[in-house]
Parts: sequence; structure tokens; C-alpha cells
Amino acid sequence: MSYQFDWTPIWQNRQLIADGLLTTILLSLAGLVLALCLGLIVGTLGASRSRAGRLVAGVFVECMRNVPLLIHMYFWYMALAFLRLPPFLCAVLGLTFYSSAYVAEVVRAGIGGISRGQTQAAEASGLRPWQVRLLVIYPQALRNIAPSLASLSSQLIKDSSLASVIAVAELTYQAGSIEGQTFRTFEVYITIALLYLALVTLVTRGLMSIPGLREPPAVAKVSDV
Amino acid sequence: MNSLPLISLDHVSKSYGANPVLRDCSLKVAPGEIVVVCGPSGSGKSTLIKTINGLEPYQSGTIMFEGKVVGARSTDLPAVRARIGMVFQSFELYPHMTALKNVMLAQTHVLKRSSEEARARSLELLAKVGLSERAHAYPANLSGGQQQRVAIARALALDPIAMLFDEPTSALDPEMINEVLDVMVSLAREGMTMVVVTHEMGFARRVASRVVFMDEGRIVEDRPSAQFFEAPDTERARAFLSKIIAH
Repeated sequence: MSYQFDWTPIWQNRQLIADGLLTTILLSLAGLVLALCLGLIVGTLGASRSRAGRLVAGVFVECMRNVPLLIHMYFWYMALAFLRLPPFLCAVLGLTFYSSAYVAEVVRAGIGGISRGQTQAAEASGLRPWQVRLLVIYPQALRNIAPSLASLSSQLIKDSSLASVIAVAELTYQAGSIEGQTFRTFEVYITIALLYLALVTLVTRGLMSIPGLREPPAVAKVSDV
Repeated sequence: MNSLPLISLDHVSKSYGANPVLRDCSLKVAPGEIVVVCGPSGSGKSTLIKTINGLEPYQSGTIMFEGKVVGARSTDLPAVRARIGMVFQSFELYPHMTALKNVMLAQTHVLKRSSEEARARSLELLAKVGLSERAHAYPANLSGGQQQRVAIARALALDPIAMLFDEPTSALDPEMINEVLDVMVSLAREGMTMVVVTHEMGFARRVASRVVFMDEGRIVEDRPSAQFFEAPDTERARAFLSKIIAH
């Protein structure tokens, strides 16, 4: 191989790369927060005793999950072009609806994994249904599904790269434009790959280190015995 | 029974599809009474006791608690439930909370007690069930008997006027049964109104005012406990008793 690496164009374009990284972070963060909220609602509905609720949740999940993410983004950007939504918002909406379906399925399984007796015990003590969920069911379910949610989060960050096709100037988009100007293909994409690697690793590790999410306290607190 | 019943079931029936689980059950429990419900498995005992605080819906008949119809749209079910303590076969402590927090939860969120007040009351109740020193342990680090005693403390924390026990000792090792029964006996002596689904006939003999015998979803016998143990009316109850006492 006679390829000569030349990293100077990367350094010269550091501002573009930094902007792209920041946009990727903001895009992922917005998508993640919204997807978690929407997924929590839909997943709760899917695990509810109401047949209508389960049906609505099921239809939502199938429709969102079985359409490619790229089409989600095109949908907001092009099909609904008359709304004139900014590209960033279109990307956030696409990511949110697509990912929320996966979150919903994980949440539904998490709630389903908590025994009916826990709900009965909480209800028997006079707690209202929303209190039962908030105080008894979610904290237990969340612990069980934390690893799955962390991996969905990493998926979402990587998925955000698709926003480049609807002109959101995030990391992958910037990579394309730098590559187009400098032709330093390897250098550009190695840099971008390392940045994604660092970002995704940091986020998943960070999420899993939230106290109480790693292990059930019963196992963790040996000092109590 | 002279005083007005606290709990009354009037011709209550329930079925899962074509499967009847409760058939025309009527039962009255006066304040201070201790009613033991027994019968073979699948006879509807647990379902019966769970209809009293609305954990199980029923299709016909009426259930009243303190004069309110359980399951009626106009009745605030959580408010009714807060007046009734319930203890389950599988304890159902919240595994993500310490024993103390388990006992505090409904006090702060249902009765809206301050957390200092709830903590003080919880420690008092944990002492009463003999578990002061385990207040900060998580359920997974407690024995079955200890978990059930915490569950009793949790149920008592709302100062209920009646307690429901759904086979409280069935999931326990034999040597732990007595530590739970002792707590229940002392509760009975204090005059708590109790409905207890159990196979512990020794307990029934000691404290029950009445024994209700169920079979195939029907209340077959409902008699003062002394009479029930001396000579059950029905052949079915006699056979059941001889099996359970001779074991």
C-alpha cells in the first residue's frame, strides 16, 4: 500500500467536525428523551388491562417499527414538506417515533415481568393506579430493562447519522462535505468513526452507572446482612 | 351477631367465562370478629377474600364495607382499601425498598403523613412484629417469616379497621409458621376484625369466632368455631377436617 496518510485537512476542518458532533449530540439527546417518554407511555398502555389500550399500543408499535428509519425521516421532511419543518426537527421526529416503538416493547416486557401480586399489594394499600405505577412498578421494571434501554440509546445515536440525508449538518453530514472537499476519505471516516465510538461508549457507560440501575439493591447491599 | 356488620357479602357470584368460582356466597363479619375461611384448594377462598377489597371484581350480588358498596362506581375504592389491611401468601414486599420504606410507603402517599411521623410509626410497628433491628434490610435479605411479619406491619401502618389474610403461612417453612401466627394471635387479642384464609386449624381453634368452610365456590358451612370443630354439619367438611388434622 502506497497510501500516504495526511491528517492536516482534519485539523483544518476541526470547527466543522466539532459543530457536527454537537449537532449529533443534540439530535440524539432530543430523540432519546422524547423516545423514552413516548415509549414509556405506549409501553404502559401495551401492558395495561384495557384491551383497547393494548390494541392501540400494538398498532403503534407495528406501524413505527416496521417502516425503515430513512422513510420516517423522508416522511417528515418531504411528504409533509408543506409544514416547512426545519430539517433538525424532522430528524428528531423521525428518530423519536421510530425508536419509541422499540422502547415501548422493552417497557411493556419490563412491566410484564413484575408479578401481578406487586400491583395487588400496592392497590390493596390504597395507592391509586398512577401511584402504583410510579412508586412500585416503574422502579422495579426500570432496573430490569436498564441494559436494554442503554443499548437502544446507543442504537439511536448511531441511527442519527441517517439525518445527514435530509441535510441536517450532523457528524456524518460534515464528514461527507469535508471528504468532498479534501478527498481524504480514510482520515475523515476514521476520525468520525472514533468520535461515534467515543460518544456511544460514554453514553452507554454513563447510563449504566446511574445508581441503582446496575443491580437490584438486594444483591448489592451486602452490608445489610 | 348484634352489632352492624363491618363486612357483608350478599349473594355474591363470580365466574371466569363459563367457570364459576364463587356461587351465591353470603357472609357477614361484625366488628371484632375473627372469621377463618378454609376449604380445599380451588374452592374459591382466595377469590372470596380478594373481592372484599375489590382486588377481584364480582358479577352479581353486593359487597359492603362500612356501609359502602365495594365495586360501585360511586365508591372511592382506594379510600375503602386504605381502611383494610391485606397480607398475601407470597408476602409481596416491594423488593426495591427496605423493610422500613415498605412500611412507610402508603403512610406518606395515601394517608399523607409526614415522613418523620411515618418513620416513627413504622419503627413502632416493626418493633411490634419483632423486627426493629432489620428495619434497614431489603426483603431479599430477610427470611420468609421475617418478610411476612414486615408485610403485616406494612398492612397495619394504615391503622386499618379490618385485616384480610390470604394464606399467610402457606409459603413458609414449618419452623417459621409460628412466628407469623404469634403476631396474628396477638392482633386478634387486641380486637382487630380479621378474615383469615388458612389451613392452620390450631390457629382457628385458638382465636376464630367463626369458621367458614368453602367447597366448589360455595360457602358450605359458616358456624362458631367450637361447633365446627366438634361436629361439622356436612360430610365434605368432616372429610376435609380429618385429612387436615391427621396430616
